[in-house]
Amino acid sequence: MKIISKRKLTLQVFEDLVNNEVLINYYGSLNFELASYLIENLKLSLKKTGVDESVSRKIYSSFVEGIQNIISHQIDDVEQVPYGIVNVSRKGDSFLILLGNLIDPQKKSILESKVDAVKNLSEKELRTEFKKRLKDVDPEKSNSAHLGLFQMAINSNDINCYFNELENGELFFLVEVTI
Amino acid sequence: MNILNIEGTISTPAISVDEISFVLSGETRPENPKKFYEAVFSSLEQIHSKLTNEAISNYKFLFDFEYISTSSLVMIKKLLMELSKLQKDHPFISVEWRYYEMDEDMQMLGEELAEITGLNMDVLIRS
Repeated sequence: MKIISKRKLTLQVFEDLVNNEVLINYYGSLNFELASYLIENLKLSLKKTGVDESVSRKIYSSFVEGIQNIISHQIDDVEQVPYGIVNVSRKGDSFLILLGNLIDPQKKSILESKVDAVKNLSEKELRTEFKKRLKDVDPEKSNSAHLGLFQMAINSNDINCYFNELENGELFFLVEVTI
Repeated sequence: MNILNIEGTISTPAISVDEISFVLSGETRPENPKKFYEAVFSSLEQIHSKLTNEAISNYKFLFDFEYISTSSLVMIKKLLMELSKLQKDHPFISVEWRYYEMDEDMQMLGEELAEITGLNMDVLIRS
């Protein structure tokens, strides 16, 4: 894994999108209020694209789940500025959602295995697993059984994750959802 | 008598609870679903008391969501589980889950939640 700076990583991510039609783009600190603002803006942008309602709902749902995931899993360190990348773009008939944030490097293998687990399931298997997890989840506990990740996978045609080690030892986690 | 009345926002549903109906509508993706739904469960307890005291003899729960985040979904499941218990003691309670015609996921979700919670719930297209 190549070690790069936060600035270079941001530029690299956005450079790959240069030929796409960007619907929403943000990088920097993220909190719930700002996320809500981005979510509302995406809703307006989606209306303007004239895309089919069912596709629009999938994009919206994946974006909300992803951005809420970033907020709830941001590194809880007062000395560290939360840093996220959020982008939705269209390339041809597909929509690409990129959601990234800094994570605890020790969580890398757990996250990798979770994304791999959903990636290898068919839509039918994903729906079955989603229902099972919804049935089993205990509302009194704080975790939501990773239903958000399953929802994103159900919505998508493809889901991938990437890890980038930054020069100060931080680890950046990027999820790419194609719809 | 109005028991709970919360206006909807871009991230939280409108909630209206009185002695005739219990209605949740709009989008639900609050920052802290557990905290947000505390008031809903508290209102449900009040309705439960009124049903037990036979102060109410006819009651309707209506779920008319446009969007449910998965973190909210866990709270909705908890609510439907409570309703399922309530419905066993008071079979006249009606529960309706509405969805937009083109929103198959919301339809499926309503059907799955009814199955998971054992709730007698009508899943209907929004008119």
